[in-house]
Amino acid sequence: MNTHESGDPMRREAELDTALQALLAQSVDTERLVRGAQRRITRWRWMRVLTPWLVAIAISVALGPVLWRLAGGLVSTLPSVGVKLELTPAGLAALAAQLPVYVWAFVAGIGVTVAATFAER
Amino acid sequence: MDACATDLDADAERRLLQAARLSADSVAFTRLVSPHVGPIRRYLERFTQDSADADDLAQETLVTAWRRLGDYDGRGRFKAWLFAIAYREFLQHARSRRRFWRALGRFRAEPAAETVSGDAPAASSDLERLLDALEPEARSLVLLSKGVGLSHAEIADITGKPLGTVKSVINRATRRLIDEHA
Repeated sequence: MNTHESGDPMRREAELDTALQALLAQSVDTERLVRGAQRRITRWRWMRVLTPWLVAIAISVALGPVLWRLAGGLVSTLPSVGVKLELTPAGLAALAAQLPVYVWAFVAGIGVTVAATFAER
Repeated sequence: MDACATDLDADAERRLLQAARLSADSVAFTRLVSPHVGPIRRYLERFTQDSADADDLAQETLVTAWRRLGDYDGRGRFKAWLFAIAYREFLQHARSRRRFWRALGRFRAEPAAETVSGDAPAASSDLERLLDALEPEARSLVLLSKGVGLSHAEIADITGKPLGTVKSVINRATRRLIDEHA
């Protein structure tokens, strides 16, 4: 590429193309790069499966005792507020109306997380 | 997993793509991307000026390609699709690097953009020095066009720049390289 001060522009451009192609074609340890990428892909696959479950478990562990107490307290007070716990649609709707909204947000969060896990697969 | 560095014909590429996509065949994926790993790594090195960063971004490019293989619709060339990913990986890297230096700037001055790395590979030829002297945008476009062999339309698609801009930047950079390298 250094020797063509009077070469025609087309030829000089073609030579520049060749030199740039040669620059990008210089040898690289392809195998090492691909092996590294494969390791990252394996890690990514595991994390994709595990992350939603780990998040759900962490949330459950953090909020589980609180929810358990809330649920216990709620059930014990149901009769005093005139709600009779029945396993019928109407009974469950009455129970749902008594539960705080953040309990439902939590349940919905777990549901979305689990659904997302299966959707990703 | 052995890397095969020979170029693939269109049929082989289609078969490997199908295998990699439908049965998540990592060997097929490796054979599919191997011919492009070297050029992608070299291309990234001209921007990061750092061998380790170039390795890291080249590997991230492959991981992203694997994750998004289902998005490749086969309309454009696979090579162009891979370089589009590499280009975006580099932009993302540059942004996070700028954020890092901005945050650090509260404590000390940010180094000049061209000297961010302590592991900069030496420009081994006149051509590399001239390339490095180009604006990053011009360097990127001229490498994609002349080095990788992508069309102006493909480059416009990859970079999101208007076709006219791509053509004029490449022409200007090419003239400069020819004039100064002659």
